[in-house]
Amino acid sequence: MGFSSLYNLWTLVFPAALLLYYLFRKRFQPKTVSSVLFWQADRQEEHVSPFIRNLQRNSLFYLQLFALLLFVWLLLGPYLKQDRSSGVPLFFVVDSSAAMLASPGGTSLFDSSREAMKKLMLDEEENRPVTIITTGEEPAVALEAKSPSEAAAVLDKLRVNYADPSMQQAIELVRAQLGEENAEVHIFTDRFDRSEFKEETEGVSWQVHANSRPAANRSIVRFGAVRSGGTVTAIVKLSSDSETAQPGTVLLKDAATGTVLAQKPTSGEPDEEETIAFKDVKTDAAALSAELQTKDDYAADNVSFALLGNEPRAIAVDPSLHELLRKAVEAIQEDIITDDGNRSVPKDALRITRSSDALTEGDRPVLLIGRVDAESEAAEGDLRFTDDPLFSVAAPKEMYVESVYPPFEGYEILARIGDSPLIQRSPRGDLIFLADLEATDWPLQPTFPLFIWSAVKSLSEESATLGTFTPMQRKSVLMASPADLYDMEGEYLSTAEAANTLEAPARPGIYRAADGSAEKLLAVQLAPSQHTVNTGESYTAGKLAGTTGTTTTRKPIVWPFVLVLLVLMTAEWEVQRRRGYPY
Amino acid sequence: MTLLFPPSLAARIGRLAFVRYGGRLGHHKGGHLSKKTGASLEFSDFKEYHPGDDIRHIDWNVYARTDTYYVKQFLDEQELRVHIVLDASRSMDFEGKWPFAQQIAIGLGQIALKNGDGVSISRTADAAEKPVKRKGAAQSKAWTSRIASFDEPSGNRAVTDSLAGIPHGTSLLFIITDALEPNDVLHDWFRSLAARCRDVRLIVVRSAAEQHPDFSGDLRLVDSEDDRQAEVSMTSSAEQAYLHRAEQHKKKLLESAAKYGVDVLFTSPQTGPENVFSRQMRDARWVR
Repeated sequence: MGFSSLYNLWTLVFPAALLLYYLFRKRFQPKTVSSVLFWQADRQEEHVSPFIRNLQRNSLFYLQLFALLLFVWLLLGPYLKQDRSSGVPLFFVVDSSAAMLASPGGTSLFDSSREAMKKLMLDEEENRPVTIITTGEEPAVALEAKSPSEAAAVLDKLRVNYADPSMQQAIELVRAQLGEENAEVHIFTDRFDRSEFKEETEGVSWQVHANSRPAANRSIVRFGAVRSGGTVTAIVKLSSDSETAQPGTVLLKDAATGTVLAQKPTSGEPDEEETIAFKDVKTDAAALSAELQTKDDYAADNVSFALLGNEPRAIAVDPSLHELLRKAVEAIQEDIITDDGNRSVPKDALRITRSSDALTEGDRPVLLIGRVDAESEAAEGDLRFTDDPLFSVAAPKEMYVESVYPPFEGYEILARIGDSPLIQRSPRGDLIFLADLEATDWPLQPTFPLFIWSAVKSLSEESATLGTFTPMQRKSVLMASPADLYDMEGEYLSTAEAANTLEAPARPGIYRAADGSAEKLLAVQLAPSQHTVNTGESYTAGKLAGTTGTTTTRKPIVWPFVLVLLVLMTAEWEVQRRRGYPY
Repeated sequence: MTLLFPPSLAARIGRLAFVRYGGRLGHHKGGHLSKKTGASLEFSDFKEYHPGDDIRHIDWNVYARTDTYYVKQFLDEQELRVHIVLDASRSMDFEGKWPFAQQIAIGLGQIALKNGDGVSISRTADAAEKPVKRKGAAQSKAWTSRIASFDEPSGNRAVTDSLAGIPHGTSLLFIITDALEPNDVLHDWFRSLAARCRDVRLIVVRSAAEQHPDFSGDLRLVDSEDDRQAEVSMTSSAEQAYLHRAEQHKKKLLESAAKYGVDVLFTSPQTGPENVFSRQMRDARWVR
């Protein structure tokens, strides 16, 4: 048995009061007097009609009967129907990504959207419920209020969460919240194209408030660092969205201490990409940051972070692979182990191999190039890449692929040639290139060594660190127990929900995750999409008939009856006290 | 029963006599002048002689002057028939009301007996009881002891039901009661009393507590005669209400009494029997 309204236990006050009343009631001492003639109050009412006399005589019975009837009445749950005018709900979808921090006009897009929202709310009628939804990995209801003024009062609590916005998901959330109701939805973002907008607009008015001012933006689109032979090699890739040249300086810093290790100027020519390499930087820092010092409208993407493994891992290369691969690997690391099956390969070495068995052997991810367990088929079509960090330094523009091997089922596909997968990633993290290097012209292209560098780096990073996260990203990690997250100043931030998952903090930076036994670093980087500040068109879709409607609500009426019941009980008590009291 | 009625009191009372206001007298010879002609020494009137008249009463001087026979008439002296109704309901047994009522009854009887009048007493307690009748000064002691031997009040018969006990030919009716009955009952009672006797005198005995309640706290007051109850928290307002109601009751009682020619005397045990007779009754011109 359970109780649905346990909070109503407070009504025990009433019986308690009655009990107290009983305990402290008046006790009349009996005293015999010659006559009560002068004591008795007017008893005129006794000489009334038989009906009333009957009522008086059986008053206790009638009162109890009435109380019980009232009780039954209450159990029926009486209610009144009330027509209440209620406003059409007001929804605000706020892009909370880092790009909203850009301030092309002095104030950031986020702040100006907030101002616009406040203005909208204060102009609205009071009876409209307000819901604010923030975007992110998972869009969330940030605020629910009964009236616009109530919502406006707490609007300042909204914060940017840096996460990659998913407008479609946010709109789905709005849809889920709405059901069949009419609503007015305002979307505040930098760009949300009409072409992407596929919503049904019947009964719902959608107003997209987009950013109209282009922002002069320079950003670090890619920053990577590799330790080899005691020195660190770092590559910073810069892009420029501005219309004029914006010269600046790129600083290479120790992420933990903030000491500048190296710096290089950058010209910042409009619409041009620049790659700046730092070589032979002597440091034993575990994480580096690259900072672009320039004057632009968007500061959040001017900093990037990279993690450095403590010890460079040995690389074991299958000798049957293309000679140029070996050359490319040698450019990254000097000591290469030839993995010809005869020599023993260290357990923690990074294997580059043709043998598909390597996917199941060992506990470290490998780079698999081609397959020996399957036949290749002719490939045709264009090359297409996903938005993976692996290709962010240098993506091959055009590549001739003669034939590809069949893909592994269930593995993530990073690149395709035509319809056939070309590059895959296993759940463990193995990278698989589904073609023989001889069958492509990629090794001849300048992007090839950079790809190998990226691949080696990402594969080796996985082991020594927790890798790179996008803000608020939830990823599986290998930790012994639920990890505690600290920032580089050592301040505690949060604790993971489980041992094998970790949700990254919102703010880009380097963080420390500590389980009971080990401490691993993780970097939080802005998603690639957050490196640009978009401009878009503001528009309205759909129409709303009116901003008010009526809803019929059922208002339960319990209290008046409970009060009557109480009065009845009191009357009963009084009758009992006067008449039926056993002296 | 000297304690109840000391001889000193008897001596003081012995000098008193009832003042009579109209009404019949008894048939027997007594000490009170009657309106009827009789054999007393008090001259009343002349009347022409008719055969059959006592010739001894012819006034010969008048015959000499007028040559007509006139007969002298004298007023008659007859006895006073006094009856006392003693309220013996339970309400009388409070705060010395009962002995006091007994004392008054004894005193009234002694006054009557000393003057050679007949006196009788009936109680409300027992309707079947025959009234106690005495006559002559010699009966004074017997009267006293008889009344003193009355039982404590026990019945709950109202004094207003006591009409049957009143003997016919009563010339002076005393009623000793506390008159704690509703006004309308008293009103009716007075009417029947007035029909029964021309000279009705009501002695209302009220104890001090009945006049001014002296109790305090929360009380459930129980009526001594029936089971009526009243729950009272003794506050000044409750007391005021009581006094007001008592005052109203008294006022209405006096109104009813005046209407039917019933004399009323309010007294209380604290007054003492001497004062009742020698002061209150004298002031009310009941005795002289």
